[in-house]
Amino acid sequence: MPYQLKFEKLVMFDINQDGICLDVEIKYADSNIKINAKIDTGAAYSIFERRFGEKLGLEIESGMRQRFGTATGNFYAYGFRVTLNVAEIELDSMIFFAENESFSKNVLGRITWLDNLVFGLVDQEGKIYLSKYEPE
Amino acid sequence: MALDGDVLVAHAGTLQEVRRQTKGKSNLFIVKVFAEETIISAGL
Repeated sequence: MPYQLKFEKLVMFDINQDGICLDVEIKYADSNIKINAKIDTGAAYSIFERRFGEKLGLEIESGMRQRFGTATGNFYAYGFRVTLNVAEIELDSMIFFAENESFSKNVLGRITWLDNLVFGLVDQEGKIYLSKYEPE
Repeated sequence: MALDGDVLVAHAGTLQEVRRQTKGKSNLFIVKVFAEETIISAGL
């Protein structure tokens, strides 16, 4: 039995990159930055480098402190409510900025980003289909 | 938990329960939060 989904957006990604990465705009108050981030379904939240939060004018340690774990260890990050814009789909999101300045990853995770989307992937063609999730 | 603007309008132990409590309401910010020392997955 075939299943059909309709999407609002088609976004191309570079299949030669290490991971599936998209351009994302982070908006907070009157500030915004644009960065490239890896989609990571294993990440509970979206997590970004500390310096990007500072560029937005955030006092990092004033955010919601949270401990995160990876295969190789744990770290702390601080959460803020921002707007994430990917492919002109804007979502009200809780994202985190790493406490440690040496943290150099930027990932788009599940809670308040991926869980608010309908997401289709054709990896070999570098295509991602996106729609904002609307409850039935 | 679910926020309408900055106002808490629902909270529960699971996102599914919060979504059930807020069904039919639009423009809510629904987010799961953890205790600070709970180790949650960063992926990576």
